[in-house]
Amino acid sequence: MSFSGKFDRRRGWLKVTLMIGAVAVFAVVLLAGCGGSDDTTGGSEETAAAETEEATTEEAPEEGAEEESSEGTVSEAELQKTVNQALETEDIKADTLPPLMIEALEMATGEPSPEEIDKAFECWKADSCTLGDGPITLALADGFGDNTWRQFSKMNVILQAMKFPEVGKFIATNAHGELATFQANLRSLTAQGAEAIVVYNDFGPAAYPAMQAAQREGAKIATYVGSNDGAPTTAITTRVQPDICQAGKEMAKATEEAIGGPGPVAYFEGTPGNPQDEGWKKCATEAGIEADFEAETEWTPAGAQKAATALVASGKPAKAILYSYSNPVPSIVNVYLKAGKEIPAIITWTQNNETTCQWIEHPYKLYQTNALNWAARVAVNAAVKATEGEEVEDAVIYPQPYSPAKKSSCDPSKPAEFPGPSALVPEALTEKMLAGQ
Amino acid sequence: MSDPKAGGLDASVLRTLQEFRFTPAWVITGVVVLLLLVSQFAVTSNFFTQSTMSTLTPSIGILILVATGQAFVISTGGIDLSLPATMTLMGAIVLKQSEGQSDQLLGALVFCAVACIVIGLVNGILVEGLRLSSLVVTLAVGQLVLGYTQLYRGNVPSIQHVPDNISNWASADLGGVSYILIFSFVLAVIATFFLHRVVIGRRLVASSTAERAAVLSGVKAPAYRIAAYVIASLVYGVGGVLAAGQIQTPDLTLGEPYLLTSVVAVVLGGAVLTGGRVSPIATLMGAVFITVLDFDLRVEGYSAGARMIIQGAVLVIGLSLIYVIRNRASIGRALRRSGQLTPDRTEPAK
Repeated sequence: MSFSGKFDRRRGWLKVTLMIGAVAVFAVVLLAGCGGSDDTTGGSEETAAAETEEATTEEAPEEGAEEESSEGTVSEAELQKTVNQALETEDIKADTLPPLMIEALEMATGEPSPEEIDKAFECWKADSCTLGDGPITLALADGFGDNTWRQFSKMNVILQAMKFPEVGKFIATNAHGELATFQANLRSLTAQGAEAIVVYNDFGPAAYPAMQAAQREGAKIATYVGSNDGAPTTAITTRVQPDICQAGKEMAKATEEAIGGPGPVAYFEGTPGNPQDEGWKKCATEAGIEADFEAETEWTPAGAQKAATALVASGKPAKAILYSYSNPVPSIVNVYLKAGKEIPAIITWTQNNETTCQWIEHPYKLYQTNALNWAARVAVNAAVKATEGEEVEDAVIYPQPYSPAKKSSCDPSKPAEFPGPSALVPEALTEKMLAGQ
Repeated sequence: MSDPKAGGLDASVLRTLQEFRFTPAWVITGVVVLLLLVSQFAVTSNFFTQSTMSTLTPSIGILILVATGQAFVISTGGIDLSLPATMTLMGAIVLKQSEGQSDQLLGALVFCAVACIVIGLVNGILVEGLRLSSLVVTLAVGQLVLGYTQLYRGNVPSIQHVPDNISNWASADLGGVSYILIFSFVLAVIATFFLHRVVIGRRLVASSTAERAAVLSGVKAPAYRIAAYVIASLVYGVGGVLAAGQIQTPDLTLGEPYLLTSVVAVVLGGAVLTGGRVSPIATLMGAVFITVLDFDLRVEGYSAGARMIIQGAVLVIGLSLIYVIRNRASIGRALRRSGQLTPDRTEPAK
């Protein structure tokens, strides 16, 4: 018995030693990896910018404009310039936009000072920071904050929040695509006193109960970009989003322009049955578009590749692909290049550096929207104003024009997922974000 | 009178047929051949064209690779849920260590190999050394690796395109058949040879199928079983690097599609999740089956929901078939017994 007990104890010690050893080896390697990752950011060489026959929209505003914006008034010309930059078109007049959007873009006009850039950058790197002395705690509850687009949206939230002296603390959470984490994050934010919460809702109506609970606790929630049609105001105070049906009709218009007829086309969607894709597909079809192939992509490069492979193999003569996300488009194009087939026209939401640069190398008809990150700024305005007791609209519906890709939107010195100048993040800050890992 | 020569031939054919073992590997091979014929003649006449093969075969090749790795772990009675995180980490390392430069790829690959060995060792030591549940350990290690990958990769990586040499290789093909598929096929053959003809491989099989007997025979079974995790991790690493090369801009979702499919491919290859002998060639067939079935359903325009139902049904039927084949003798006995018993039961009382 005693021998057995001693043997068991020795085995126990052996187990503990092995466990500690394994964890220690793993920790050392992790730390070594982290340590070695600091000097890898400056590797990309500056390459010549793409052709710039189109007027680039990211020039710094004129001197007077900065003074004006600091005084809170922006000239019509300056505002229009920001609108043109954000929407990537000169066809939409600023005064036709929703009032809250005009207000947000007015505040976004003008370059931040070097101090503001430093503060925004430090805040972006952290999950929590102090932006000012105001009493309001502003939070960003991101459903999936792990890609470049979301990071540029986060920066938009920070830059806009800095314009409000009444905002003090900023907190950011990331649910990594998990609803349970998102719900827990919202509970945590209200517990920390967040009163204005900006949300990217990746979970559709499933997230409404958690948002309702947060609003019952006194927070005001504004969502941006993702479709929340029909959401009760008890869950979302203000939805900042496109008119999904109108977006479908605009896509139909762009398709007609690109291929000279209604089809045949293929619809590519993200996650199966998501309301956003179902919405635009229905309205594009009602507008006369003839789709004879549909496929899900999960909005990932691998998913887009599978969908494109199936389309090519099906033998269906799709003249255009209508899609709701620009980032995986290079995977679609690669399939066509690999198969030796003509690349169909692609009409897609958002904008992506790799997509535009690849289009320059292998030309085809590409129509995109703007980056849409700026919508987060409108959501900040809505949430803060609602927190202050002001009346805000239930929904800020912004236009989503599709326009042919511009060569000036490609910047080979920037990473593949860089959303372009319409993201409304100043160049100096973009450089810091890309170099600041 | 029949020709004695012919009779001899008949007898030898009959003997061969009698000796033929109707194994799960043969069944899955037959089913794959059938599926390929259906793909060509009923789904799309473009199936065996260069354009389809060149885009479909890389996906099959990557799944074969990672399923082969998973097979090593499943043979020990474990399961490896750290697979997606390991693959995703490979994509991040290839991006960051190489800085998008072809001449720095070698260093990145060495880093990848070291990372895979560490992940495999941690999994193996915790599961085999400390006898912890593989499900929990590999899930936890996967979370750890994924978290580390996010920190290591950064929110906005400055390099998001893999070096040209790896993307060129991953997208190269021979007559439409991807190098990745050829490579994975060769690897599966080598793995089969290793497990059946090389002493170390046979000891690994012995340690997996009958650990106690292997220990009593003087084989250091725990070390071999830990080695199974390390080999698996290294194979996932190769799969991750090639998947990154094929996608060209790998993100944090790189490994996600391969977790369930790799397990299904191994199981369709006749493996039992409680451990035992596995066949890399049968696993290869399982991977081909899963990928081609999904492809066919996509070409036919089935929605994700319909695809899931069909794939689930096929999996259940496949597993049932494998169970029947493995236990056909006992099932036959049971059926015969019930056949003998039935008349007694139905016989009216006298």
